Amino acid sequence: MANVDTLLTKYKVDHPPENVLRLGKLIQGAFASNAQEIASIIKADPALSARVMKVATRGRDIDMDLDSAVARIGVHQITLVVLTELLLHAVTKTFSKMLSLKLEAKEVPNPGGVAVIGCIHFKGQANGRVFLRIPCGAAAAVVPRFLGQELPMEPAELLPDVVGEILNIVGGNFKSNLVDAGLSCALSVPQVDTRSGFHADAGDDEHHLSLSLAAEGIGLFLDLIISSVA
Amino acid sequence: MSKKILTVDDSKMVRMIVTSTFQPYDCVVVGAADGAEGVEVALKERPDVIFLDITMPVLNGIETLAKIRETPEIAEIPVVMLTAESDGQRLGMADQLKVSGYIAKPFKGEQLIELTKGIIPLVLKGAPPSAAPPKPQLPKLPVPNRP
Repeated sequence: MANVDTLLTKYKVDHPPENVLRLGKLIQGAFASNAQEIASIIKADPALSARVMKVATRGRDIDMDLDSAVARIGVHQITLVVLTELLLHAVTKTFSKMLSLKLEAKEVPNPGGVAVIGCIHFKGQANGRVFLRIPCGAAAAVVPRFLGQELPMEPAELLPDVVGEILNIVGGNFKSNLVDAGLSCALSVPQVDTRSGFHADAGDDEHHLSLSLAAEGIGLFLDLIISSVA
Repeated sequence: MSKKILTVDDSKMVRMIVTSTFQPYDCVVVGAADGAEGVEVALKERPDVIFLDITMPVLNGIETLAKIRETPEIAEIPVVMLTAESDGQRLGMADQLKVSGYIAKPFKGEQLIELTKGIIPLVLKGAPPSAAPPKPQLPKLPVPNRP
């Protein structure tokens, strides 16, 4: 089989950006490296450093350096934070290219009420699931942007399909990043539901991180749950 | 004569985007919602190009591509993968099954047009025959001087 670079060039598929490759290497080495080595790689990425510090301090104003933060949260939480960065990269890329929406990770008040909720599982050397939750009002604004033209039907009819496809694209990009980082895994078909009262249930042995993103008045919520990483 | 394009994707929205992308051209776009249906529709419609997703129920895109390649009536139809999975493993599998192109989602409609134009001629609807791509001309040979 031809090597990956040759295939990416042959089919004119974008090479993964440098920060994604660096994060992939970090996952590969996370279990073999010591805390100082991990910290030195994380320091090269300001966004990742900020997220590690946030997790280590639990968002409180505590005086702590990055080496201490890495030692404090441990390799499993580091892996979760790195995977979250890969997921964020997949989400922002998808919304930017298909919806011309420049999402940013920020606190978004939960509007409550009914939301379209998608879930996709990945299984293999990395196991877990991703939930994407878009409140119905925001999802209705997303549909025409996704299609790029006037809708031939009511947006509500297309909400589950659109959220499912967005999650499919996000999950596919995320999974590709994992595979290219050496974590072979397969993706499930997205399951989509429209309901209120969502709660992502993580087991005692699982690691869970929630985040929200927004742009132009459209807010959405992500939950990443990691069961295991080989 | 209209060209026929088959889009195999479990997302209705993606099938709609592919259909609207080719609307300005003299094309008929037909759809299928999973791999098994895709093979059925391909056998019935004999499209000129197939756009194929990977993450689908029933038969995934790689299984569908293998099925197409082992079905003599449709084995030679050019297939373009249109999928979010663009890691080395997936690219390698698709390459071995002789795909004509690979578009990674998220994508823009122009990418579909550009790639398709490299596989089949696309003519704008209502364009005069002269708007069609010129037929290849034989090179002009020097006329020998008659005695």
